[in-house]
Amino acid sequence: MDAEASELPDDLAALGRFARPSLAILLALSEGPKHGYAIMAAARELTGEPLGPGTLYATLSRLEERGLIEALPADDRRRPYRLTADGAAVLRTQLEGIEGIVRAGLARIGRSATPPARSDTTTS
Amino acid sequence: MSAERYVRLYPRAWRERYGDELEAVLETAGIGARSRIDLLRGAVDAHLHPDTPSPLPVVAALSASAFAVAHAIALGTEPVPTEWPGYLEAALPLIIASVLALIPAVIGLWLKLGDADGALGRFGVILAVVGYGAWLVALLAAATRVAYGPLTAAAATVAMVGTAALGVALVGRSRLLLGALLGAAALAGVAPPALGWPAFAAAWTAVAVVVVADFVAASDGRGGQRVA
Repeated sequence: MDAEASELPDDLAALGRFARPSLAILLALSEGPKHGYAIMAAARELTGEPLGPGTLYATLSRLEERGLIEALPADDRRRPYRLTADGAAVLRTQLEGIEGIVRAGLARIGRSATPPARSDTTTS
Repeated sequence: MSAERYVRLYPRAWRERYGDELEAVLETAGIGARSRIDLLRGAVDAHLHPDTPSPLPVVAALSASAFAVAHAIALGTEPVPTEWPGYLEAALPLIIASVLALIPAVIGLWLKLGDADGALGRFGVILAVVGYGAWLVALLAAATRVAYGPLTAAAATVAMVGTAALGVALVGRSRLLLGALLGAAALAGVAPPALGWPAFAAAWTAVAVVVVADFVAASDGRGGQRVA
């Protein structure tokens, strides 16, 4: 299994290299319907990673096919998308999974918070 | 290159659905160096993952198996033993046609792994395509009497390693039968000719049957599923 997908629950992990862009798009649409360019901008703001136009539409088509997002009527050439109920549920599951990993990780760091002794301080 | 030209790289059905939107996005966002590469990857992805299943890998698998069977029969009816120098010559066009068809066939099998194809799947398909391509060149060189030598066996071995890796990746995705058949085809491909060629033809024929069954099932199951 790819390392990039291993931390994600099954629903998005099956999307392989599109798992992370999927999460970014679902997050962007959680604020309300957005068209392509607005999704790119929101995804970049939320994740700090650029979302290329080719990846954007490859991911949108997969999310649409799986019923996680749906297209709204086009406004001129720009078509907005919105999260479906299934998409919202998957997003929640994803975020809860990540939250669980973060919580467990922080607790583990907290339990072994004593930094290792530095070798260059032993002579004084 | 303009936004319109990038959009034209995508398949027609894809353009009809997303073309206008993508063009509008590119006109607003501009097309930087990273976007160009991303758009090319997107276009390749759209061609590899059409809305409706492409019959090309199915036709390729059927052709490859038919030519492999004809090749095995041709060799089986040769009046000289397989060790005889040049015994392969008469049957060369058949195995050339089979190897040519195996290139799109293995790409079709790799696509069955889906988006989460994993490192092994990617390794397998790259090795298989390179191996079958090199094998094809070596066989063509033999057919035109340019050269016939160790390159043929080496290229075939690379192709079989790639095929086996793809088989293991498919087993990992619960495609046990298909993965096992690819493993059998790979083993047959490196076996001694008298046993290897009939086994190779039989394994690929079984793969083709599974591929056809998959295609029929996918075509039946997709009626009206896509959200327009």
